[in-house]
Amino acid sequence: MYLQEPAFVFPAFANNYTHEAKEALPGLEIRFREMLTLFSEDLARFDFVTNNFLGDEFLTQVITYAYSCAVSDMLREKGYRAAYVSGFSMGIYSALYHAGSITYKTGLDLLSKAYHDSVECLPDETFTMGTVIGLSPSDVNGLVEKYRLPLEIINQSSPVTITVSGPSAPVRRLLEEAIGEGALKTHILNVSVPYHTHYLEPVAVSFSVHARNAAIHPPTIPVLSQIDQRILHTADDIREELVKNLFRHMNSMNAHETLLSLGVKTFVECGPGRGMKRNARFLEGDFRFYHPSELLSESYLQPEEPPLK
Amino acid sequence: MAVITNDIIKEVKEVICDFFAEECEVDRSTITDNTRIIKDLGGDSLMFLELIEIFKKKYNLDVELKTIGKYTVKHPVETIGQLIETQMKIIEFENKLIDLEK
Repeated sequence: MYLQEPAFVFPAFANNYTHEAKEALPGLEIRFREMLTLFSEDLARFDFVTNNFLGDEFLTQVITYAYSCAVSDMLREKGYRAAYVSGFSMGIYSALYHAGSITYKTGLDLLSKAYHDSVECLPDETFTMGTVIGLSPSDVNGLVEKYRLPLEIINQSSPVTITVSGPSAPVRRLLEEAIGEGALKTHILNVSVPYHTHYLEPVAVSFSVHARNAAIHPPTIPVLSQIDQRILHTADDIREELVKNLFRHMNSMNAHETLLSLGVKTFVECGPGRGMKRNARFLEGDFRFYHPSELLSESYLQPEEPPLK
Repeated sequence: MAVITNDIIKEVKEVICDFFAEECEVDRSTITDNTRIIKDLGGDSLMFLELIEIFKKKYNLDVELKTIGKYTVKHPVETIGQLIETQMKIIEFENKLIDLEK
């Protein structure tokens, strides 16, 4: 199958690998487990069905990182070439791995430092993130202002899918009020770090040092920022982005639209789950969204360039 | 307000069952009115939202998501049968769905 101007997009994490258990893509599981082993042999015993380890917020990120790197390697080996890559939140590390900007081990190291530095900098308070489905950003913002909730809208992934982040009690209050306002569904994310909020600004100091010392190379594939939708070309661009990725808001809907404006016609969700593909159904534009299972299963033809006319 | 005919009921049921069979990769014949959307099929709220959009376009419905949200708080949807019933109400009453609660 030939993909026209594909963008490979990488999710932050998944809390369920049911689809991956069903698909059993040839060769993927071996590669995935080899990558997990590089973190720890214990984690390599992760099971797609029982989803052990997914109660641990950090290990969940590592598992998704390993899966995303493994699946994007397989796509490359099958001949699929990304015109752009973009990583959602902590998915930036697998996007950078695929773009040749960092090695797998450098990504693991930075992912670990980002998490542990973030946890250490937080005040003695509980934090979380939550998603509201069915209300617009202005509806959600209206609730935040009405109840003076100290939280932040940190992402919009469709016209009616909003993510908030901040102290646990206000996030839970917002979700309750959102249901009263007419949200179809709300849910708390299994995280204790208020990613993409000002609460993580203090991490910038220590994490900047890690980013500066890490072996980061200019990407071989253009990387699109989920924060401000600019294209990252240099190693310094990447370093700056990694630091901002901790405390700045994202807008994955704008990122999607920017990729479309750059000529992208197809998207591939390089990771477990189907969340990005599902959200994309509520976005406008002429594009197709694939999951790797649709491209890597043996029943599909090898990619070929279209014939020249 | 639309008049609900047997043809509409049949069509809504078919669209919903076909949708979940494809999305959740299950045999269409195993889906019944009693099938639980989340527990049995692994479905989620984005699927519900997508179905709403499908029916809004199909029947040219004038209904706000918030109205549907307020209705489903009082009439939770857990099974395929309940979803079909809710969808029929949305098609029949559109934005006046909210008046059913007054």
